[in-house]
Amino acid sequence: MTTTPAIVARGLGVRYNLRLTRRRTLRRFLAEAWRNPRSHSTSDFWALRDVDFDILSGESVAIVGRNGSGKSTLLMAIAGVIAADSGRITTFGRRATLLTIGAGFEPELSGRENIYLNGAYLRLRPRDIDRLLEPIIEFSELGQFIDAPVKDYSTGMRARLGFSIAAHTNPEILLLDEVLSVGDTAFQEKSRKRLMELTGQAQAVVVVSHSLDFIVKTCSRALWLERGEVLRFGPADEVVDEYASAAAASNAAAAPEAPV
Amino acid sequence: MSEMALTPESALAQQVRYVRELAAELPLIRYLAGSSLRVESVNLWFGFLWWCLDPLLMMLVYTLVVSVILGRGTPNYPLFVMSAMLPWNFFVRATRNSIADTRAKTRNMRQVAFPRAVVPLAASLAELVRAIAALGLFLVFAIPFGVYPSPTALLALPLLAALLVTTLGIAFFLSAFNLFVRDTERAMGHVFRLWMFLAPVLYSTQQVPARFRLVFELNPFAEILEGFRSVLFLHQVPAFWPLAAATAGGLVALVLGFTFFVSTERAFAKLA
Repeated sequence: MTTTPAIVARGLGVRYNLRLTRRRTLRRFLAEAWRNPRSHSTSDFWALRDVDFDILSGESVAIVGRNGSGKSTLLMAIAGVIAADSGRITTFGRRATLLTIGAGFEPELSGRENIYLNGAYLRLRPRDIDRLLEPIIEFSELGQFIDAPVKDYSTGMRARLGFSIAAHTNPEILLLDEVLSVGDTAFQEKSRKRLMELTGQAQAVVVVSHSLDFIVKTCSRALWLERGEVLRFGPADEVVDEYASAAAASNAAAAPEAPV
Repeated sequence: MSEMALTPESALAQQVRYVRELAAELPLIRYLAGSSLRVESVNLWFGFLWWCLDPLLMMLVYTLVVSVILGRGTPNYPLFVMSAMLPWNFFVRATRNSIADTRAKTRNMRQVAFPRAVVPLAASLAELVRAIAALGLFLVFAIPFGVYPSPTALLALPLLAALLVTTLGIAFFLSAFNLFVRDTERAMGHVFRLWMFLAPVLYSTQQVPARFRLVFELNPFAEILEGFRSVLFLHQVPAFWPLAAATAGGLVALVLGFTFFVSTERAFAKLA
């Protein structure tokens, strides 16, 4: 493993302005203004605050945390899709590829055409994609369905195609948001091996996953987010253990009050 | 290396850098434009034939209403209408598709960092290709009416440039604005319809009563549409200064619309 940094975050904060981002209707707007004329101060929500970390090339890092703790926002900030509102995040590499469930496919076009479209987003030239086409199709195991429109694909098929494209376009930084959890077990195992190959080639991988087993098997370190702040960042098995026991404890504490 | 700049840039320097990044995305713009043209025709029996059918059918409808039923048409009324309606349709379709694509592609915007202005540019490029095909078709279609192509038709190219900058300005502004107020897309259908009836598409500006004419000429599209009609159909060279003023107005719209789009696009991924 090398020690060149791939992603560096310093005091990273991301703010959502709820007045702009929350869908409102004129009726609700007037109703709120009527009830509480001075409610403007509470419209900011910090999805991430004061996040510091270094991720090295060749490392695979998992992000764990409960729903709404800022995991996806952190991946989007690393990908440069949303900007930092405080502090900064620096990535070293040509580009970061972010993969989420239901990746950005054009539903009417075939899987093959979508490979070219995704390549265009990743700034690849058509003749580079020509060369990558066969390995991508083979890895995705889509066979003849590669020429069917993506709208007819299942969620698993889309995830397979998305991962195959991302894993073969030589990403310096690969960001995966829950994509591998929808594939079948065999494909998951194959993808896990492919991720190991990528980190072996000094590429950085950051995974958001709720499968703690997958994290322990795949990742060297884990970052635990809680309400937008880093609670723990250390060896994957240790952080996952602590996270699992904390989750179990909070379930046990909640159980008497909510007997379900 | 995508390290963030540590020294703050001036607003102008930011714009210049943005335009340079945009120029580097030309292959993506081309690919998106091509795929949107393909997507549109892939589910249709007649496929690309609709490029010809759309304007022909629209022309038939207006000729039927104005010329046959109301009896208010001018000589060669189908050509009169179509020579202004083709550029008008370019404006409507490019703007409408820019707004819709910018909304629909927020999913891609949450995954890939690319200059967001790519999306309205690609939508407009696709419509530009279609408009050029339709204008070429118009020249062929005019021959059976005894209207032969004349060298003035070449002046349609600078007119197209004036139309394009005005359209892009409006499309950039509305595409960004619609993400904050989604009613925009819905309302534009009505705005476009009213705007068309107030523009010299079905009639010429000369037919407007003199006391209203000034109001009609404030429409940025009035001069441009009349210009298309005169170079394609009447074979006259339009007056230079009114068109230059319309083009200057279009450039101002482009700068304002583009600036609004670029200064709000940082928030797009958060709005999805």
